[in-house]
Amino acid sequence: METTAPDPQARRRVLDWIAAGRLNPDHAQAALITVAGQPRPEDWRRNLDRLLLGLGVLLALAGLVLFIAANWDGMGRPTRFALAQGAVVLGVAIAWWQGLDSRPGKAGVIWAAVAVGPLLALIGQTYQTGADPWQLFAAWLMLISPWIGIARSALLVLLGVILANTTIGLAWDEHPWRMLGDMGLFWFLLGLNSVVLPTWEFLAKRLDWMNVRWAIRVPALASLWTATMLVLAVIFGREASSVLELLPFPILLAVGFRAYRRQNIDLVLLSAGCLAVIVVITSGTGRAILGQENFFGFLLTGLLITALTATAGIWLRSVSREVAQIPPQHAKPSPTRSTHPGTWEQLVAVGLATGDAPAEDTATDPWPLRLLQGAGGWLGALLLMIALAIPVGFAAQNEGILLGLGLVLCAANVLTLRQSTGVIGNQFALALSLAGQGAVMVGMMGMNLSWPTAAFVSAAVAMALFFAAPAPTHRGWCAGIASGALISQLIHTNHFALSTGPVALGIAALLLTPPAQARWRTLARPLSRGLLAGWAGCFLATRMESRWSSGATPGLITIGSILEFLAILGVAALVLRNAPAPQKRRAWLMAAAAVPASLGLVVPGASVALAIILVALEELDTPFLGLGVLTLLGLIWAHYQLDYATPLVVKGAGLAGMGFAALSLWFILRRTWAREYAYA
Amino acid sequence: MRKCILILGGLLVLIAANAAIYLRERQLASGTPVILALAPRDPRSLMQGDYMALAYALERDLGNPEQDGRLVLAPDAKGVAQLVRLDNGTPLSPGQLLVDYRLRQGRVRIGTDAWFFPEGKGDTYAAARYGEFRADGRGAVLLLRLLDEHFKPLGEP
Repeated sequence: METTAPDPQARRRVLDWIAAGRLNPDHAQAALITVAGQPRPEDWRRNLDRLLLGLGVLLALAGLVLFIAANWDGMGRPTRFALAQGAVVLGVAIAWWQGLDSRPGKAGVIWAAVAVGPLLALIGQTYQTGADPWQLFAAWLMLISPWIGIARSALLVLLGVILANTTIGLAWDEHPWRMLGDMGLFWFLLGLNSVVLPTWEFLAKRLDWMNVRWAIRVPALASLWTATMLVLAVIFGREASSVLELLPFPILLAVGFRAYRRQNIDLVLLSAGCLAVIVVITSGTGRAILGQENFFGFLLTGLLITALTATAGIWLRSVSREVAQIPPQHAKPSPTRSTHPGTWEQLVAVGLATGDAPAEDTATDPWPLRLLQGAGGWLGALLLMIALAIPVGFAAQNEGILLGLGLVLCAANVLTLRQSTGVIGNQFALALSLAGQGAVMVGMMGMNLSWPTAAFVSAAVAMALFFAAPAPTHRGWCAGIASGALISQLIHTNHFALSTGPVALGIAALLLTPPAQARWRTLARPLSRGLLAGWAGCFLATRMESRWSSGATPGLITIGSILEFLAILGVAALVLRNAPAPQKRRAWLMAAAAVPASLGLVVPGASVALAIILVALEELDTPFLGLGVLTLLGLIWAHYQLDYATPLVVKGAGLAGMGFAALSLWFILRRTWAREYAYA
Repeated sequence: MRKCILILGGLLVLIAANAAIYLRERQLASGTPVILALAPRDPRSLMQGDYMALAYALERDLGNPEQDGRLVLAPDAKGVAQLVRLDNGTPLSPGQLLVDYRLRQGRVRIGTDAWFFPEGKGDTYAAARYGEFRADGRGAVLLLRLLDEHFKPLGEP
């Protein structure tokens, strides 16, 4: 079967059609594989291969770094310098040996280029000349620039761009020109990135390897950010500013609109542009009408943010539908229809569907749009809450009223969501819901409710809203809030180990086969997402590892570990449920790989991170994959940073051991697979 | 061709790094010793994690210069370098020495403003009263070690 490019939108559409009864649930897996690029068993083989290799290298390196840190005193200067230079030489050697166009060869050059930074930092730290930090970054950039030129890697170009930005940012503080103020710095950075961005786009059209969208977005977002800061400086008038500073913003928007709406549609950059416009407009009006205890000012600004976000949402949704109508393999757009001929016709072609394409009903929005809606929801909710608190007053006797008003807002949210499925309704409902839940929480705090009770009530309100209103985005937020409230309660009482319970429940919601997932998707998907994201958010926000290892009793740790272990086994088994027998054995092996990881990092959290990664791979969800990787990195960092009781040597040995375990597993699997399949 | 540049780039990094190391080792080995008295920079945050923020008593004598420049220093009876004047290009008397200073974040900085040490060794360096430098005679100074009030090096066996 021909491989289809991964398309999360097509995946959601297919699940919607199954839920609506237009597709036979028994064909779910086949349909998803056909149109969505759903990972097939052999794709899983590749994913596991990369995951284990990446995890192994990451853990082994982290272990090595801790090992060196532990023996720092015993090592002479020559040894340290030899180690740091050895890292650079190793990267160059790999690139030489594997060739610059191979994947490992590129990884080798990038590794060498990154390793130059620590080498320079080590020299700077050993001989304290008092050189300015920007000199280090400038030297780093200069030394790796030959490699940037030859490696043909967008990642390395991006490293160069980031180093250039960092150098300018740091040098600004030291230079006499700093008298020009922060505005001067923003002008400089804007100038740099507005040269980099068109150059990069120009090269991307001619050189395939430069055409990496997510990397191009970095200088684009940097230009947008600096131009926005210039406008905000004029609005808030902190420093002497002129009308000249207003100019770059509209110019950048116009050029960006032409490039990313007319030529290559880029929803991420369009969403970021919308957010910038919303921020600028509300800052302008807010500065004019907001004052002390100005009820209408806050109310109007809150409503304005919500209305603007909804407008942006409608526009972006129409743009995203336009994108969806372009079948991935074909450059030319198909004739405009209110359906998705690409997806549906592919299904008809392989005999999985019959009849006309279903009309578009509840489109699921792509992630940049959901992110924008979330951000607008939070901002609007915050202002609405302040507006609410002004007439009620922050005085001590009125928490009951605040709590009551919060509940009223929550009820209004449910009514709105039941009445309307449109973008505007969803946006207002999200603001209402967040403001309402916030008001309930503040009200309870004011009433001196003990924290466990308040957390339980907050979680209960969130879950009530989850079940009462049938909007997926809102459900995800509610599950996340409920999970966050419960977990922070558990941290508070040193029972964090048990937080694995809600996470296990969240994963369990995913343990549904594709047909069942389609039928239950309005409940299961947001629930599992919210719980996992709530856990990871809580963890990353507080870096709670120290609490985990110091406060929790061993019994709880064991229970938590077992829960996590069972959950990961379940995910592994079900992800490969329809796979042939040998694949099932792989699933158990993969689950076994999670055990040393979770034991070695003391917290079972490692397996939550792995679960997030696996779910993201199965669901083709890039942001969720990012969350998983971030959680894993956070765990390793917390392990090093917070647990002072364990000596560095032990920590390093643990990490390195896990890394080598993962690498051995990778090696064994690779050998086995190489026998069974022609390995690509 | 690309492989050539790959290797040349690697050599460039190694040469630059080792040249920097060699020059600084030479300065540490054969530079002129300079001892500066430390001043507590901010009593509340003298110790910050694994490095110590440094300030020098000289900075007070210097007042508020308007731009980067050079100091002329000479050792007093105890061997601690004291400010003679700002450098204006006039020849130095015997025993006098040139040291660069720079203005950073509204403060005068001589050499480094921090001393890094291994995790958990903070107590050892809390007794620091002097910093011992090696000067190259053209203005650059390298901090070699910290000394206590009896000029005994800290952190060395």
